[in-house]
Amino acid sequence: MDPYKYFPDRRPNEEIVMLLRRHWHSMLRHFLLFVVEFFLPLAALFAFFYFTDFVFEKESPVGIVIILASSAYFLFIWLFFFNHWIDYYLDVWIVTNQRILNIEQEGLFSRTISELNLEMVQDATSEVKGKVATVLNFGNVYVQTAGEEKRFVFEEIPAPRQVASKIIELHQSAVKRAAVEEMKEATSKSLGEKDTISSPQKNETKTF
Amino acid sequence: MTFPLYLILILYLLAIIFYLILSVVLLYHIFRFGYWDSSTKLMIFLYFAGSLIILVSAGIYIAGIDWSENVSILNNTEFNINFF
Repeated sequence: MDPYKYFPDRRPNEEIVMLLRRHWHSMLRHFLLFVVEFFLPLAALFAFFYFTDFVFEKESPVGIVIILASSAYFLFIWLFFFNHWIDYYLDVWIVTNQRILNIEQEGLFSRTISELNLEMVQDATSEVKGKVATVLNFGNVYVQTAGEEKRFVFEEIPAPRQVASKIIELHQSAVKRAAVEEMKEATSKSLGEKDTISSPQKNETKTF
Repeated sequence: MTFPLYLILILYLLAIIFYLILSVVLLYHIFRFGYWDSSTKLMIFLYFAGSLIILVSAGIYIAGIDWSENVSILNNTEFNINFF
């Protein structure tokens, strides 16, 4: 699959520099919750049958209800865990050589895409808070902008300090590139004006 | 009160249909918006494998049950032992 399918309106000469997702630690709590929800009822059922005299035949109506209800329960637990993973997976920050995109999946049928031109970046700050974040090196990056959305936030991304530095570097390159293009445009405009002034006087001698 | 046993099966099948619809929705999202890397492939494989294990186990169990029987509960003043 095309890596650029994340944003179909790719600009000319635009290349992806960084494709970022939340650190795996943010999925860890969902995974632990899944493990608890999956194994705790099993443990509870075993304990119940072990410590009580309650007995039933597996072909009896009670047995059928318990087994089919358990099957449906585990299927839905598995489905919800997959849903959490998709939510984590589809939240992406893309930094290209021209802009920053924030693609956020909010639930199943809601998706928000924000973008920011690199020339509009004013500041990039990284933040790592807490023992776990320090050990695993993940945190937030806040990008101050001159645009309508004053602050772009990268949440719980790995290596936030390096990401912030890279954004500043790309911003400086983008500003230089924009200045060069502006100069080229200004030069070509002024050359064009000179041509229109000089062209009616065909007998004028040009000196260099 | 007496009801046919296959009523429980119908309820279970409705739950499975609901589960399949939601699964299709999730897979649509992953194929439409996702990036086809190794973690995606692994997760989809695990999801299918886990679901198949549960569904096949339930299917084997369901195949061994005589669903034409009737269930009677609370018919007498005493608790009906046949329920268990």
